[in-house]
Amino acid sequence: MLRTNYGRQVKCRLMEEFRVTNEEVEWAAAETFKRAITQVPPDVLRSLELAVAEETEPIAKQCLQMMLRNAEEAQHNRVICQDTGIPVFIIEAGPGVTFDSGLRSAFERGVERVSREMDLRQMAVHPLTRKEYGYNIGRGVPIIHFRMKEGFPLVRITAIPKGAGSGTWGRVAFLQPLEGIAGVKRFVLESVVTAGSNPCPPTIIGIGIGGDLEEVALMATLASCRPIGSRHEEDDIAALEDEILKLVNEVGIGPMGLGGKTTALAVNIEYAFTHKPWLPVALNIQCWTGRRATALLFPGGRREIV
Amino acid sequence: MTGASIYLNTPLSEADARSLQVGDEVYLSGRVLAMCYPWQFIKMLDLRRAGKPLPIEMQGGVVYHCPASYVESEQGYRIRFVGATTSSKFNQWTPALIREFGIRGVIGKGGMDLRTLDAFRECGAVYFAAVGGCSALYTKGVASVVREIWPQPSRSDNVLELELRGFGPLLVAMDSHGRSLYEDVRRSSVQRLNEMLRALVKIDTPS
Repeated sequence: MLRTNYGRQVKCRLMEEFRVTNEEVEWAAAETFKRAITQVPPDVLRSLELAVAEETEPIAKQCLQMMLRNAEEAQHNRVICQDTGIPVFIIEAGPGVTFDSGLRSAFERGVERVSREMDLRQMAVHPLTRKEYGYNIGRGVPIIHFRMKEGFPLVRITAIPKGAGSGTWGRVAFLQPLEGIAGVKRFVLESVVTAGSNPCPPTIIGIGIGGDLEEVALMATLASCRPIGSRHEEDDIAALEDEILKLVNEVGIGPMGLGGKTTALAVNIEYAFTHKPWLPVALNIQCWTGRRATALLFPGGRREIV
Repeated sequence: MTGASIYLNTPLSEADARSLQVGDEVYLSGRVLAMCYPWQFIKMLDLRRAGKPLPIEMQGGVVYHCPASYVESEQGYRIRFVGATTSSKFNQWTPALIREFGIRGVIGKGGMDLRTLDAFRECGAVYFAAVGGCSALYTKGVASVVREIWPQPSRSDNVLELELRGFGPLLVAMDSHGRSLYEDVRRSSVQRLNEMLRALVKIDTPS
Protein backbone atom coordinates (compact mmCIF):
# COMPACT_ATOMS: atom_id res chain seq x y z
CA MET A 1 0.00 0.00 0.00
CA LEU A 2 2.73 2.34 1.05
CA ARG A 3 4.76 1.49 -1.98
CA THR A 4 1.80 2.08 -4.28
CA ASN A 5 1.16 5.45 -2.75
CA TYR A 6 4.79 6.34 -2.95
CA GLY A 7 4.91 5.40 -6.63
CA ARG A 8 1.87 7.50 -7.36
CA GLN A 9 3.21 10.52 -5.59
CA VAL A 10 6.46 10.43 -7.48
CA LYS A 11 4.66 10.14 -10.79
CA CYS A 12 2.37 13.06 -9.95
CA ARG A 13 5.24 15.28 -8.95
CA LEU A 14 7.07 14.68 -12.23
CA MET A 15 4.18 15.21 -14.63
CA GLU A 16 1.55 16.74 -12.43
CA GLU A 17 -0.39 18.39 -15.21
CA PHE A 18 -0.36 15.62 -17.82
CA ARG A 19 -3.41 13.60 -17.10
CA VAL A 20 -5.37 12.52 -20.17
CA THR A 21 -9.09 12.44 -19.47
CA ASN A 22 -11.55 9.97 -20.93
CA GLU A 23 -13.37 12.85 -22.57
CA GLU A 24 -10.18 13.63 -24.51
CA VAL A 25 -9.69 9.97 -25.41
CA GLU A 26 -13.27 9.61 -26.64
CA TRP A 27 -12.84 12.76 -28.73
CA ALA A 28 -9.56 11.46 -30.18
CA ALA A 29 -11.04 8.02 -30.94
CA ALA A 30 -14.10 9.47 -32.69
CA GLU A 31 -12.30 12.18 -34.65
CA THR A 32 -9.44 9.98 -35.86
CA PHE A 33 -11.76 7.10 -36.77
CA LYS A 34 -13.99 9.45 -38.74
CA ARG A 35 -11.08 11.21 -40.44
CA ALA A 36 -9.46 7.89 -41.39
CA ILE A 37 -12.55 6.58 -43.17
CA THR A 38 -13.49 9.83 -44.93
CA GLN A 39 -10.22 11.51 -45.89
CA VAL A 40 -7.29 10.13 -47.85
CA PRO A 41 -4.12 11.55 -46.25
CA PRO A 42 -2.42 14.32 -48.31
CA ASP A 43 0.81 12.34 -48.81
CA VAL A 44 -1.21 9.46 -50.29
CA LEU A 45 -3.08 11.82 -52.62
CA ARG A 46 0.21 13.31 -53.83
CA SER A 47 1.61 9.87 -54.43
CA LEU A 48 -1.49 8.81 -56.42
CA GLU A 49 -1.18 11.98 -58.52
CA LEU A 50 2.45 11.18 -59.30
CA ALA A 51 1.43 7.64 -60.22
CA VAL A 52 -1.16 8.93 -62.73
CA ALA A 53 1.62 10.81 -64.50
CA GLU A 54 3.90 7.74 -64.44
CA GLU A 55 1.41 5.22 -65.82
CA THR A 56 1.23 4.73 -69.55
CA GLU A 57 -1.52 2.07 -69.64
CA PRO A 58 -4.95 3.74 -70.08
CA ILE A 59 -6.70 1.32 -67.70
CA ALA A 60 -4.13 1.89 -64.95
CA LYS A 61 -4.36 5.63 -65.44
CA GLN A 62 -8.14 5.61 -65.29
CA CYS A 63 -8.22 3.49 -62.11
CA LEU A 64 -5.90 5.96 -60.39
CA GLN A 65 -7.93 8.94 -61.61
CA MET A 66 -11.11 7.33 -60.24
CA MET A 67 -9.40 6.85 -56.88
CA LEU A 68 -8.48 10.55 -56.80
CA ARG A 69 -11.99 11.61 -57.79
CA ASN A 70 -13.45 9.33 -55.14
CA ALA A 71 -11.13 10.79 -52.51
CA GLU A 72 -12.37 14.25 -53.42
CA GLU A 73 -16.03 13.18 -53.21
CA ALA A 74 -15.55 11.40 -49.91
CA GLN A 75 -14.13 14.32 -47.99
CA HIS A 76 -17.63 15.83 -47.81
CA ASN A 77 -18.42 13.51 -44.96
CA ARG A 78 -18.81 10.33 -46.95
CA VAL A 79 -16.94 7.08 -46.50
CA ILE A 80 -14.10 6.45 -48.95
CA CYS A 81 -14.81 2.70 -48.96
CA GLN A 82 -17.84 0.71 -47.82
CA ASP A 83 -15.55 -1.49 -45.73
CA THR A 84 -14.79 0.89 -42.89
CA GLY A 85 -12.82 -1.88 -41.26
CA ILE A 86 -12.25 -3.19 -37.80
CA PRO A 87 -11.29 -0.26 -35.57
CA VAL A 88 -7.60 -0.32 -34.58
CA PHE A 89 -5.87 2.36 -32.52
CA ILE A 90 -2.28 3.00 -31.51
CA ILE A 91 -1.61 5.02 -28.35
CA GLU A 92 1.88 6.47 -28.08
CA ALA A 93 2.86 8.05 -24.81
CA GLY A 94 5.89 8.58 -22.61
CA PRO A 95 6.30 7.63 -18.96
CA GLY A 96 4.54 10.00 -16.59
CA VAL A 97 1.28 10.34 -18.49
CA THR A 98 -1.76 9.09 -16.63
CA PHE A 99 -4.98 7.80 -18.12
CA ASP A 100 -8.23 7.48 -16.23
CA SER A 101 -9.82 4.12 -15.58
CA GLY A 102 -12.40 3.22 -18.20
CA LEU A 103 -10.02 4.01 -21.04
CA ARG A 104 -11.38 1.18 -23.20
CA SER A 105 -14.95 2.39 -22.72
CA ALA A 106 -13.88 5.83 -23.95
CA PHE A 107 -12.60 4.26 -27.18
CA GLU A 108 -15.81 2.23 -27.50
CA ARG A 109 -17.98 5.33 -27.09
CA GLY A 110 -15.98 7.18 -29.75
CA VAL A 111 -16.28 4.30 -32.24
CA GLU A 112 -19.98 3.74 -31.56
CA ARG A 113 -20.79 7.41 -31.96
CA VAL A 114 -19.13 7.63 -35.40
CA SER A 115 -20.68 4.32 -36.46
CA ARG A 116 -24.12 5.66 -35.60
CA GLU A 117 -23.61 9.12 -37.09
CA MET A 118 -22.37 7.74 -40.39
CA ASP A 119 -24.60 4.63 -40.53
CA LEU A 120 -21.52 2.44 -40.82
CA ARG A 121 -21.89 -1.28 -41.30
CA GLN A 122 -21.58 -3.28 -38.10
CA MET A 123 -18.50 -5.42 -38.68
CA ALA A 124 -17.23 -6.68 -35.28
CA VAL A 125 -18.15 -10.33 -34.59
CA HIS A 126 -17.19 -13.18 -32.27
CA PRO A 127 -14.59 -15.13 -34.29
CA LEU A 128 -16.29 -18.53 -33.85
CA THR A 129 -19.97 -18.01 -33.10
CA ARG A 130 -20.03 -14.96 -35.44
CA LYS A 131 -22.38 -13.31 -32.94
CA GLU A 132 -22.49 -9.55 -32.62
CA TYR A 133 -22.33 -7.50 -29.47
CA GLY A 134 -22.46 -3.78 -30.25
CA TYR A 135 -21.83 -1.29 -33.00
CA ASN A 136 -18.29 -2.08 -34.19
CA ILE A 137 -17.21 -3.03 -30.68
CA GLY A 138 -16.89 -6.28 -28.76
CA ARG A 139 -14.43 -8.26 -26.68
CA GLY A 140 -11.02 -6.79 -27.55
CA VAL A 141 -12.48 -4.49 -30.23
CA PRO A 142 -11.52 -1.72 -30.79
CA ILE A 143 -8.07 -3.22 -31.01
CA ILE A 144 -5.81 -0.95 -28.95
CA HIS A 145 -2.00 -1.06 -28.95
CA PHE A 146 0.21 0.90 -26.56
CA ARG A 147 3.66 2.04 -27.63
CA MET A 148 5.87 3.50 -24.93
CA LYS A 149 7.88 6.46 -26.18
CA GLU A 150 10.63 7.56 -23.83
CA GLY A 151 10.65 11.31 -23.32
CA PHE A 152 7.63 11.90 -25.58
CA PRO A 153 6.12 15.27 -24.58
CA LEU A 154 2.56 14.52 -25.76
CA VAL A 155 0.11 11.69 -26.34
CA ARG A 156 -0.53 10.52 -29.86
CA ILE A 157 -3.58 8.43 -30.77
CA THR A 158 -3.70 7.04 -34.29
CA ALA A 159 -6.67 5.33 -35.90
CA ILE A 160 -5.84 2.70 -38.52
CA PRO A 161 -9.16 0.96 -39.19
CA LYS A 162 -8.25 -2.22 -41.04
CA GLY A 163 -10.19 -3.25 -44.11
CA ALA A 164 -10.78 -6.91 -44.93
CA GLY A 165 -9.51 -6.71 -48.51
CA SER A 166 -6.03 -5.61 -47.53
CA GLY A 167 -5.97 -7.08 -44.02
CA THR A 168 -6.48 -10.62 -45.30
CA TRP A 169 -3.05 -10.66 -46.91
CA GLY A 170 -0.89 -9.93 -43.87
CA ARG A 171 1.78 -12.55 -43.20
CA VAL A 172 4.40 -13.46 -40.63
CA ALA A 173 7.29 -15.88 -41.15
CA PHE A 174 10.35 -16.97 -39.23
CA LEU A 175 13.08 -17.19 -41.86
CA GLN A 176 16.41 -18.88 -41.38
CA PRO A 177 18.98 -16.22 -40.42
CA LEU A 178 21.13 -17.36 -43.35
CA GLU A 179 18.38 -16.35 -45.76
CA GLY A 180 19.23 -12.75 -44.90
CA ILE A 181 18.18 -9.81 -47.05
CA ALA A 182 17.47 -12.05 -50.04
CA GLY A 183 15.04 -13.99 -47.86
CA VAL A 184 13.23 -10.82 -46.82
CA LYS A 185 12.92 -9.72 -50.45
CA ARG A 186 11.62 -13.13 -51.49
CA PHE A 187 9.07 -13.10 -48.65
CA VAL A 188 7.77 -9.67 -49.67
CA LEU A 189 7.67 -10.36 -53.42
CA GLU A 190 5.92 -13.71 -52.98
CA SER A 191 3.39 -12.13 -50.61
CA VAL A 192 2.67 -9.31 -53.05
CA VAL A 193 2.18 -11.66 -56.01
CA THR A 194 0.00 -14.01 -53.93
CA ALA A 195 -2.20 -11.09 -52.84
CA GLY A 196 -2.35 -9.92 -56.47
CA SER A 197 -5.42 -7.83 -57.28
CA ASN A 198 -7.19 -8.52 -53.97
CA PRO A 199 -5.86 -5.88 -51.53
CA CYS A 200 -6.83 -2.92 -53.81
CA PRO A 201 -3.42 -1.90 -55.17
CA PRO A 202 -1.54 0.41 -55.34
CA THR A 203 -0.80 -0.47 -51.74
CA ILE A 204 1.41 0.79 -48.97
CA ILE A 205 3.49 -2.14 -47.77
CA GLY A 206 4.59 -2.23 -44.15
CA ILE A 207 7.39 -4.65 -43.30
CA GLY A 208 8.57 -5.64 -39.84
CA ILE A 209 11.95 -7.32 -39.44
CA GLY A 210 13.26 -8.77 -36.16
CA GLY A 211 11.75 -8.77 -32.69
CA ASP A 212 9.55 -11.77 -31.89
CA LEU A 213 6.14 -12.96 -33.09
CA GLU A 214 3.96 -10.10 -31.82
CA GLU A 215 6.58 -7.40 -32.14
CA VAL A 216 7.35 -8.16 -35.78
CA ALA A 217 3.66 -8.02 -36.68
CA LEU A 218 3.13 -4.74 -34.86
CA MET A 219 6.21 -3.24 -36.51
CA ALA A 220 4.79 -4.18 -39.91
CA THR A 221 1.52 -2.49 -38.97
CA LEU A 222 3.26 0.65 -37.74
CA ALA A 223 5.36 0.71 -40.90
CA SER A 224 2.22 0.45 -43.05
CA CYS A 225 0.88 3.68 -41.55
CA ARG A 226 4.06 5.73 -41.87
CA PRO A 227 3.56 8.65 -44.30
CA ILE A 228 4.65 8.09 -47.88
CA GLY A 229 8.02 9.73 -48.45
CA SER A 230 9.09 9.26 -44.84
CA ARG A 231 12.34 7.36 -45.05
CA HIS A 232 13.66 5.13 -42.32
CA GLU A 233 16.11 7.05 -40.14
CA GLU A 234 18.95 4.61 -40.92
CA ASP A 235 20.32 4.96 -44.44
CA ASP A 236 20.80 1.27 -45.18
CA ILE A 237 17.21 0.47 -44.16
CA ALA A 238 15.93 3.43 -46.20
CA ALA A 239 17.91 2.10 -49.19
CA LEU A 240 16.32 -1.33 -48.68
CA GLU A 241 12.86 0.31 -48.66
CA ASP A 242 13.63 1.95 -52.02
CA GLU A 243 15.04 -1.24 -53.46
CA ILE A 244 12.08 -3.42 -52.44
CA LEU A 245 9.61 -0.79 -53.73
CA LYS A 246 11.34 -0.86 -57.10
CA LEU A 247 11.21 -4.68 -57.21
CA VAL A 248 7.52 -4.74 -56.20
CA ASN A 249 6.64 -2.28 -58.96
CA GLU A 250 8.43 -4.41 -61.54
CA VAL A 251 5.98 -7.24 -60.91
CA GLY A 252 3.36 -5.41 -62.98
CA ILE A 253 0.20 -6.10 -60.96
CA GLY A 254 -0.80 -2.44 -61.22
CA PRO A 255 -3.84 -0.53 -59.93
CA MET A 256 -6.65 -2.95 -58.97
CA GLY A 257 -4.58 -5.82 -60.41
CA LEU A 258 -5.38 -4.78 -63.97
CA GLY A 259 -1.72 -4.28 -64.92
CA GLY A 260 0.63 -1.32 -64.69
CA LYS A 261 3.69 0.16 -63.08
CA THR A 262 2.10 1.12 -59.76
CA THR A 263 1.61 -1.94 -57.56
CA ALA A 264 2.75 -0.15 -54.39
CA LEU A 265 3.03 3.52 -53.48
CA ALA A 266 5.54 2.87 -50.72
CA VAL A 267 7.45 0.17 -48.89
CA ASN A 268 8.17 1.09 -45.27
CA ILE A 269 10.32 -0.98 -42.95
CA GLU A 270 10.59 -1.01 -39.17
CA TYR A 271 13.08 -3.29 -37.47
CA ALA A 272 14.26 -4.38 -34.03
CA PHE A 273 17.00 -6.68 -32.82
CA THR A 274 16.01 -10.31 -32.61
CA HIS A 275 17.03 -13.65 -31.12
CA LYS A 276 20.19 -15.12 -32.64
CA PRO A 277 18.55 -18.19 -34.22
CA TRP A 278 15.71 -16.10 -35.73
CA LEU A 279 14.94 -13.86 -38.65
CA PRO A 280 11.27 -12.94 -38.14
CA VAL A 281 9.64 -10.97 -40.92
CA ALA A 282 6.09 -9.67 -41.24
CA LEU A 283 4.12 -7.85 -43.87
CA ASN A 284 0.99 -5.75 -43.45
CA ILE A 285 -0.67 -4.34 -46.54
CA GLN A 286 -2.54 -1.05 -46.55
CA CYS A 287 -4.94 -0.50 -49.46
CA TRP A 288 -4.65 2.57 -51.74
CA THR A 289 -6.82 4.68 -49.43
CA GLY A 290 -3.97 4.74 -46.89
CA ARG A 291 -6.44 4.86 -44.02
CA ARG A 292 -4.97 6.60 -40.98
CA ALA A 293 -5.49 9.71 -38.86
CA THR A 294 -3.71 10.92 -35.76
CA ALA A 295 -4.81 13.00 -32.79
CA LEU A 296 -2.27 14.88 -30.69
CA LEU A 297 -3.09 15.55 -27.05
CA PHE A 298 -0.86 18.11 -25.33
CA PRO A 299 -0.41 18.81 -21.63
CA GLY A 300 -2.78 21.61 -20.68
CA GLY A 301 -5.65 20.35 -22.82
CA ARG A 302 -4.68 21.48 -26.34
CA ARG A 303 -5.71 18.90 -28.93
CA GLU A 304 -5.49 18.59 -32.68
CA ILE A 305 -5.98 16.14 -35.53
CA VAL A 306 -3.17 15.77 -38.03
CA MET B 1 -11.66 1.62 -70.85
CA THR B 2 -10.57 2.78 -74.26
CA GLY B 3 -13.44 2.80 -76.72
CA ALA B 4 -16.83 4.51 -76.44
CA SER B 5 -18.91 3.83 -73.32
CA ILE B 6 -21.61 1.17 -73.56
CA TYR B 7 -24.93 1.64 -71.73
CA LEU B 8 -26.82 -1.51 -70.78
CA ASN B 9 -30.01 -2.33 -68.93
CA THR B 10 -30.59 -5.40 -66.80
CA PRO B 11 -31.68 -8.14 -67.27
CA LEU B 12 -28.97 -8.89 -69.82
CA SER B 13 -29.49 -11.23 -72.74
CA GLU B 14 -26.91 -13.77 -73.85
CA ALA B 15 -26.32 -11.55 -76.90
CA ASP B 16 -25.66 -8.55 -74.64
CA ALA B 17 -23.08 -10.49 -72.68
CA ARG B 18 -21.42 -11.99 -75.74
CA SER B 19 -21.17 -8.59 -77.45
CA LEU B 20 -18.87 -7.35 -74.68
CA GLN B 21 -15.10 -7.59 -74.90
CA VAL B 22 -12.34 -7.20 -72.36
CA GLY B 23 -11.52 -3.47 -72.17
CA ASP B 24 -15.06 -2.20 -72.79
CA GLU B 25 -16.36 0.51 -70.51
CA VAL B 26 -19.93 -0.08 -69.37
CA TYR B 27 -22.60 1.82 -67.42
CA LEU B 28 -25.43 -0.31 -66.03
CA SER B 29 -29.03 0.55 -65.24
CA GLY B 30 -31.80 -1.58 -63.82
CA ARG B 31 -32.09 -4.11 -61.02
CA VAL B 32 -29.17 -6.08 -59.65
CA LEU B 33 -28.70 -8.44 -56.74
CA ALA B 34 -26.24 -7.25 -54.07
CA MET B 35 -24.55 -10.16 -52.28
CA CYS B 36 -21.46 -10.10 -50.11
CA TYR B 37 -21.20 -13.19 -47.87
CA PRO B 38 -20.67 -16.86 -48.79
CA TRP B 39 -23.76 -18.07 -46.89
CA GLN B 40 -25.94 -16.02 -49.24
CA PHE B 41 -24.58 -17.85 -52.29
CA ILE B 42 -24.92 -21.21 -50.56
CA LYS B 43 -28.52 -20.50 -49.54
CA MET B 44 -29.46 -19.46 -53.06
CA LEU B 45 -27.98 -22.65 -54.53
CA ASP B 46 -29.53 -24.85 -51.83
CA LEU B 47 -33.01 -23.47 -52.52
CA ARG B 48 -32.61 -24.13 -56.20
CA ARG B 49 -31.33 -27.65 -55.70
CA ALA B 50 -34.16 -28.43 -53.29
CA GLY B 51 -36.60 -27.29 -55.98
CA LYS B 52 -37.90 -24.46 -53.78
CA PRO B 53 -38.91 -21.06 -55.17
CA LEU B 54 -36.23 -18.39 -55.33
CA PRO B 55 -36.86 -14.99 -53.76
CA ILE B 56 -36.03 -13.28 -57.03
CA GLU B 57 -35.90 -13.87 -60.78
CA MET B 58 -32.30 -14.72 -61.57
CA GLN B 59 -32.40 -15.31 -65.35
CA GLY B 60 -30.33 -12.63 -67.09
CA GLY B 61 -29.54 -11.10 -63.72
CA VAL B 62 -26.44 -9.33 -62.53
CA VAL B 63 -24.88 -10.09 -59.14
CA TYR B 64 -23.02 -7.21 -57.52
CA HIS B 65 -20.46 -8.23 -54.87
CA CYS B 66 -21.62 -5.39 -52.71
CA PRO B 67 -22.07 -4.69 -49.04
CA ALA B 68 -24.30 -1.70 -48.51
CA SER B 69 -25.43 0.69 -45.82
CA TYR B 70 -28.99 2.00 -45.98
CA VAL B 71 -31.51 3.49 -43.61
CA GLU B 72 -35.29 3.41 -43.43
CA SER B 73 -37.08 6.66 -44.14
CA GLU B 74 -40.69 7.57 -44.82
CA GLN B 75 -40.07 7.22 -48.55
CA GLY B 76 -38.67 3.73 -48.09
CA TYR B 77 -35.04 2.69 -47.85
CA ARG B 78 -32.46 5.39 -48.38
CA ILE B 79 -29.05 4.24 -49.56
CA ARG B 80 -26.06 5.58 -47.59
CA PHE B 81 -23.24 3.83 -49.42
CA VAL B 82 -22.31 0.83 -51.53
CA GLY B 83 -19.03 -0.51 -52.86
CA ALA B 84 -17.46 -3.54 -54.44
CA THR B 85 -16.00 -6.22 -52.20
CA THR B 86 -13.30 -8.78 -53.09
CA SER B 87 -14.82 -11.15 -55.65
CA SER B 88 -12.34 -14.01 -55.22
CA LYS B 89 -14.16 -14.89 -51.96
CA PHE B 90 -17.04 -16.19 -54.11
CA ASN B 91 -15.07 -18.20 -56.69
CA GLN B 92 -16.40 -21.45 -55.27
CA TRP B 93 -20.10 -20.77 -55.96
CA THR B 94 -20.08 -18.49 -58.97
CA PRO B 95 -19.74 -21.07 -61.77
CA ALA B 96 -22.91 -22.76 -60.47
CA LEU B 97 -24.64 -19.39 -60.26
CA ILE B 98 -23.84 -18.78 -63.93
CA ARG B 99 -24.78 -22.28 -65.12
CA GLU B 100 -27.85 -22.95 -62.97
CA PHE B 101 -29.40 -19.49 -62.70
CA GLY B 102 -28.52 -17.83 -65.98
CA ILE B 103 -26.66 -14.95 -64.33
CA ARG B 104 -25.12 -12.86 -67.14
CA GLY B 105 -22.96 -10.44 -65.22
CA VAL B 106 -20.93 -10.14 -62.06
CA ILE B 107 -19.84 -6.76 -60.67
CA GLY B 108 -16.96 -6.82 -58.21
CA LYS B 109 -13.36 -6.02 -57.62
CA GLY B 110 -10.18 -8.01 -58.02
CA GLY B 111 -11.54 -10.53 -60.52
CA MET B 112 -12.37 -14.24 -60.37
CA ASP B 113 -10.73 -17.55 -61.18
CA LEU B 114 -10.43 -19.68 -64.32
CA ARG B 115 -13.37 -21.93 -63.44
CA THR B 116 -15.56 -18.85 -63.41
CA LEU B 117 -14.05 -17.73 -66.71
CA ASP B 118 -14.98 -21.14 -68.17
CA ALA B 119 -18.58 -20.70 -67.03
CA PHE B 120 -18.63 -17.23 -68.61
CA ARG B 121 -17.48 -18.69 -71.92
CA GLU B 122 -19.85 -21.64 -71.79
CA CYS B 123 -23.00 -19.68 -70.88
CA GLY B 124 -22.33 -16.13 -72.03
CA ALA B 125 -21.58 -13.89 -69.06
CA VAL B 126 -19.01 -11.24 -68.12
CA TYR B 127 -17.20 -9.73 -65.14
CA PHE B 128 -17.56 -6.00 -64.63
CA ALA B 129 -14.64 -4.58 -62.64
CA ALA B 130 -15.36 -1.69 -60.32
CA VAL B 131 -12.53 0.29 -58.77
CA GLY B 132 -12.23 -0.88 -55.16
CA GLY B 133 -12.61 1.59 -52.34
CA CYS B 134 -14.59 4.05 -54.47
CA SER B 135 -17.83 4.10 -52.50
CA ALA B 136 -18.40 7.83 -52.78
CA LEU B 137 -18.40 7.62 -56.59
CA TYR B 138 -20.32 4.40 -57.14
CA THR B 139 -23.04 5.22 -54.62
CA LYS B 140 -24.21 7.98 -56.99
CA GLY B 141 -25.21 5.27 -59.48
CA VAL B 142 -27.59 3.54 -57.07
CA ALA B 143 -31.12 4.92 -57.43
CA SER B 144 -32.71 2.92 -54.63
CA VAL B 145 -32.88 -0.18 -52.49
CA VAL B 146 -35.82 -2.07 -53.97
CA ARG B 147 -36.08 -4.62 -51.19
CA GLU B 148 -34.33 -6.72 -48.59
CA ILE B 149 -34.06 -10.46 -49.18
CA TRP B 150 -33.84 -12.80 -46.15
CA PRO B 151 -33.67 -9.96 -43.57
CA GLN B 152 -31.04 -10.59 -40.89
CA PRO B 153 -30.63 -9.12 -37.39
CA SER B 154 -27.80 -6.98 -38.68
CA ARG B 155 -28.78 -4.94 -41.73
CA SER B 156 -25.31 -5.18 -43.24
CA ASP B 157 -25.84 -8.95 -43.65
CA ASN B 158 -28.82 -8.66 -46.00
CA VAL B 159 -29.04 -9.61 -49.63
CA LEU B 160 -30.50 -6.62 -51.44
CA GLU B 161 -32.19 -5.90 -54.69
CA LEU B 162 -30.81 -2.56 -55.89
CA GLU B 163 -31.98 -0.29 -58.70
CA LEU B 164 -29.01 1.14 -60.59
CA ARG B 165 -29.05 4.23 -62.78
CA GLY B 166 -26.04 4.82 -65.02
CA PHE B 167 -23.87 2.88 -62.60
CA GLY B 168 -20.22 3.01 -63.54
CA PRO B 169 -17.77 3.26 -65.06
CA LEU B 170 -17.28 -0.51 -65.07
CA LEU B 171 -14.54 -2.24 -67.00
CA VAL B 172 -15.20 -5.56 -68.69
CA ALA B 173 -12.21 -7.41 -67.26
CA MET B 174 -13.33 -10.99 -67.99
CA ASP B 175 -15.43 -11.72 -71.07
CA SER B 176 -17.29 -14.65 -72.63
CA HIS B 177 -14.53 -15.18 -75.20
CA GLY B 178 -12.06 -16.65 -72.73
CA ARG B 179 -10.16 -13.49 -71.92
CA SER B 180 -9.37 -12.30 -68.43
CA LEU B 181 -7.21 -9.27 -67.74
CA TYR B 182 -6.53 -10.68 -64.28
CA GLU B 183 -5.24 -13.93 -65.72
CA ASP B 184 -2.98 -12.03 -68.16
CA VAL B 185 -1.57 -9.96 -65.30
CA ARG B 186 -1.29 -12.95 -62.96
CA ARG B 187 0.63 -14.98 -65.51
CA SER B 188 3.09 -12.20 -66.32
CA SER B 189 3.57 -11.27 -62.64
CA VAL B 190 4.33 -14.86 -61.66
CA GLN B 191 6.82 -15.11 -64.53
CA ARG B 192 8.46 -11.85 -63.47
CA LEU B 193 8.54 -13.02 -59.84
CA ASN B 194 10.34 -16.22 -60.81
CA GLU B 195 12.94 -14.25 -62.77
CA MET B 196 13.47 -11.98 -59.78
CA LEU B 197 13.80 -14.87 -57.35
CA ARG B 198 16.42 -16.50 -59.56
CA ALA B 199 18.35 -13.20 -59.70
CA LEU B 200 18.08 -12.81 -55.90
CA VAL B 201 19.64 -16.22 -55.31
CA LYS B 202 22.54 -15.32 -57.61
CA ILE B 203 23.30 -11.94 -56.05
CA ASP B 204 22.61 -12.46 -52.39
CA THR B 205 23.75 -16.00 -51.67
CA PRO B 206 27.19 -15.95 -50.07
CA SER B 207 29.47 -18.28 -52.02
